[in-house]
Amino acid sequence: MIALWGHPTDYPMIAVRQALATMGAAVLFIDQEQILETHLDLDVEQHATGTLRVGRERVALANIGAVYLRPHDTLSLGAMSTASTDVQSAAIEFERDLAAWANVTEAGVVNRPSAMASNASKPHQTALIQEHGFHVPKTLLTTDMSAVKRFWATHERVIFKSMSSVRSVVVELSTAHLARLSDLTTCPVQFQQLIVGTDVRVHVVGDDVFACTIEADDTDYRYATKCVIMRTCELAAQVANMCRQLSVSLGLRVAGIDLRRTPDGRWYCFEANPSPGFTFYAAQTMQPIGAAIASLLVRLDGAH
Amino acid sequence: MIVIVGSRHDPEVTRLRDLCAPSDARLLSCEDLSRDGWIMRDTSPDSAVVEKKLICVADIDGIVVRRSQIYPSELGHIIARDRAYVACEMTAFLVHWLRCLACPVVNMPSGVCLCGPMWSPFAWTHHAAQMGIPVVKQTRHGMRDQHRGATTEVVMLDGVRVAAQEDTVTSDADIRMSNYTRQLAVSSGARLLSARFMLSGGRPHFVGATPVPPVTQMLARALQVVITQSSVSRDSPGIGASNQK
Repeated sequence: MIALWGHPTDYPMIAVRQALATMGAAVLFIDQEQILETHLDLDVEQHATGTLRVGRERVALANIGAVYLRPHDTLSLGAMSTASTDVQSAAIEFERDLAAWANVTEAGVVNRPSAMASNASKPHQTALIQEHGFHVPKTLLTTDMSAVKRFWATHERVIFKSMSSVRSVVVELSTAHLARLSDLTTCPVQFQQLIVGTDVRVHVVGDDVFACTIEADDTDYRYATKCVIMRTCELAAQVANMCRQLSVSLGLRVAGIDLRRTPDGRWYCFEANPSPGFTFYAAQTMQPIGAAIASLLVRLDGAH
Repeated sequence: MIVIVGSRHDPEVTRLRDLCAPSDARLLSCEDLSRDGWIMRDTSPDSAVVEKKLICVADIDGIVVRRSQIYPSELGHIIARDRAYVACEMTAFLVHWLRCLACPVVNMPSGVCLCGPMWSPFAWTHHAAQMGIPVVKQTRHGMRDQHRGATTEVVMLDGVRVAAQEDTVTSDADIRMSNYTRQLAVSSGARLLSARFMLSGGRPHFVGATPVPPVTQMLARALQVVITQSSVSRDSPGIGASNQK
């Protein structure tokens, strides 16, 4: 059986569920909106055993051979956001223990919560990425306004963005931001040399690699105000292998990797996302990423 | 200088700082991260702020980490709506900063946890059992009741047991607990680890572990020795740097 854990309106979750339904796979959906009607009994020694009850369906954990998880912040969802503290605590405890199970189960997990950790510190992940042969932008982490000005003078074009997994808009530093540089003393901020080139998004799904180029006028195409054009592209075998190896080394069976190819042919890597919102890209490119993830889950379940 | 990364509201942290005072111990708090002066280029930490004072990172002999993350509730000096974001950013920064220091760091971050492997009880039990260590089963329900029996705590720092003065490590069970804790520390990448065991039929069974053991005089002394020795080793030409990267 394949367990899916997430929200029913999440587009990647919908895509994987639909693909699994088409394949006729046995699926248990752990719906975050119904988390209080979901029960977990978990015993751990050398193996993790117990049962998971979702509504009226009861499944032995040992019978779950593959898991796809994309949970959102439960406390921000629907009725849970206004629930009592006790109810919220119960939900948090349930999800904490379900994540603990996902970390130790012998089922194939896409992706284990422990493997998603590297993305919680992007500068740390960047250091890991560099070990795999990708170029990475020069980076400054600072609360010092004068250090930012020197970095800007050195690199001429500079962006700033979040260091954690909290999503932020990537913005190019401009003279309009000078007045706000005194806010740097809130906490260290990440500045990076702006790399000019073509954005390439790569989704690694097991051994499969799906790549597309992205054209947009904005520095951060995810928040582009004008048209964003995505086209499927073929990666050179060496670059595709570097992406596969990076994913494996981070412990990720599925990853969304952000690359940029410079005019002189260098490949920069900015990030490996452990829970990629692949439908944003597949909607334009028609790449069968959801089906590939479903196939991977079926294979993992079969091998269990 | 020994820098302790922790909360100034944590009495264990202030106790450790006091006990390590002979080694010029100072406390790096979340308030220090909200001060002008932090500079880190790529993987090279340069300047930092500790107890409100600008310092050069090269002057740090060693770090002891006593917190798992920065919490929004600690950030009273940040406007309320920004606290959750700033807490994540500070934690993400420290994960990278600590990993890039040339001095000894006890413990190095593990995943998103600043102080090393702060794993769930399920993860520790599973890990220990996979290594062949006898364990007490962890269950989701009734966890509060299942470990009511007396437990023995073993604290290991760099493979050496940090014993309270009245402790003696002579019995077969003691030796087993030391060996198990050493195995768990090495396999989890923790220089400092405390493991708890319950004796059943004269044999120790693993109950749980934490990379943040209670602060004692013996622990403070052991930390100072380890850091001082590493610092001397780093500064001596030809001896080779500590392998903290």
